[in-house]
Amino acid sequence: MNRNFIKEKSRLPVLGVGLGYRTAIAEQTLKHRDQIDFLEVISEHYTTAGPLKIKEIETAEKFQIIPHGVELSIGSTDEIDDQYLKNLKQFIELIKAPWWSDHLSFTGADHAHLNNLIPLPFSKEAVDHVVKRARRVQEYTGVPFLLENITAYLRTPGGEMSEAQFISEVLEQADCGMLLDVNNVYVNSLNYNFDPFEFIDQIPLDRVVQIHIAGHRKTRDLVLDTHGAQISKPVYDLLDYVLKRTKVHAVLLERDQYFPKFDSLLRELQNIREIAAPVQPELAEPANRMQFLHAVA
Amino acid sequence: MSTMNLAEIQKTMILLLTDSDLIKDENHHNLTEDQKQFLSQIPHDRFEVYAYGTLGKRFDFSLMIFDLTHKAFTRQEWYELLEQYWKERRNNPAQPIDALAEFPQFLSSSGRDPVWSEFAEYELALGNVARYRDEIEVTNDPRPENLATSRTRVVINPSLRLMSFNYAVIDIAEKLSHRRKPRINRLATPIYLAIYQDPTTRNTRVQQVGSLTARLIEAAQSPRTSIGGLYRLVKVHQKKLDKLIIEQSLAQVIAQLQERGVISQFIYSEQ
Repeated sequence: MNRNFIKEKSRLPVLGVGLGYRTAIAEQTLKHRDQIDFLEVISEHYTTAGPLKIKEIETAEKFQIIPHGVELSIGSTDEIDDQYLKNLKQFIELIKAPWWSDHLSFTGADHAHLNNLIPLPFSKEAVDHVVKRARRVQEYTGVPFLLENITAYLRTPGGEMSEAQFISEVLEQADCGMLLDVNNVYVNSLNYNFDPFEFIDQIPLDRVVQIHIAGHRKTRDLVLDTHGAQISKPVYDLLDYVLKRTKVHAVLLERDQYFPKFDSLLRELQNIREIAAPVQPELAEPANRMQFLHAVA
Repeated sequence: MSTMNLAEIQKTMILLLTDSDLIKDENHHNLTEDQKQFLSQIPHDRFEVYAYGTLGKRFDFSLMIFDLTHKAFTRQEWYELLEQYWKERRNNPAQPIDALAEFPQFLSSSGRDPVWSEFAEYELALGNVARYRDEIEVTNDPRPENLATSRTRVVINPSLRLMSFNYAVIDIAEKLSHRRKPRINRLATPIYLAIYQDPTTRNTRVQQVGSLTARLIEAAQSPRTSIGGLYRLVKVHQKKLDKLIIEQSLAQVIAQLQERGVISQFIYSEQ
């Protein structure tokens, strides 16, 4: 099939600034449609869930929902689970998602699943393998697919290129999009001592559709991507750097633990909007938000 | 220079991440030369970060799936149980609820009070019933008559799981959900629970049934059993009762099970 992701990207809606939908903050989240433009859910929480869990989604229908997976295991040498893909496609159709995403990693192999994102070796063989599978899943779902750069606490032996090269090769050859996690870039830059801005310059920014942003924690030896702290200044700076260089359709705040008062999450969303406003006003104040505000006025 | 291909690299990574003992110097003789070389390229403390992260994620899943069972243990005990559980199971399904399917038996074999194994079975069943997602077809056809000879079949709600317990799991659940200590007494006779999705609301329902009703439900789950077959089953257990009384009692049980959504349909057949 002759696709062209860059053209497809230009037709995707601009969703604005959103929040990861989590049970611990679900009630508060649903009350703040005026300040949250869209929600992202963990696909696997719904693709294998029963009807009551799916009903949760119906209560959130005033939000655009984006599915974000953690178990596709795009880089695994095990077969892709067809049932998983079928359930995912059904879910994507149910919520009319304009795109979906998962991680550039593997979560298991040899029929053992770790439920954790493990870095791939940055090798030509891994590129070819991921490209084939990414094309297949994108074609099967019929909806643009984004791959997210992960935080890695080790470099898997067998690499032949840099991470930025690896990401670029995969995205270009698979002709898919990118979910750029700026916190992951920053965390990796501290753990592996590289310049995060240079890294950003080396990846195909024109393929970035969505951005993830979150907080991290510094330990004595490592920086950990915890999604359990406030966004730090250098991570906001990276966001600003990216937004000045490419059109982005959505920015999502991820918070998975140590939930603060909801107001501080709303403040972080507002900070993101303020960074976006001068360079991408449509991202800061997307049409869907304006429509909602008019409707409730 | 390593000659490992991607599949071998991944297999080695998983092996090293799931069996931390292999990383220790004294156990390197269990690794191939390629694996030893592979291991030498990674700072060993980084494996711990992943092992810790993996267990942390699995710990979180387990708290969701065994939301009440875990409250019977200290956090440390629960963590150690899970650590041991996964150490013994390298190959597991991707879905956490499937990966934890053997956890109740594991609790039993780990020397814990048998009540917790049964209670974990109960909670796992609640989770599995809740995720049943196919349509549950319900018809409100009239109930058949002349039960003794009826070839009509009852269709049991397809989400239903019939289970027997030696402990009062519903009471234990009630106490644990309020963070109160449950009273643990083995029952004189087992109780039978029908756990199923309400066809209308899709809420999970738990219905205690008597032993004979449990046998009837079990028999009716077989597509070969007609209502006449159910009648004969009751007759075997209630030899002294006459036909009319058995028919009346069976009709009453069928009516109750239909009202509660345990029976979802009748499939009529020519007499």
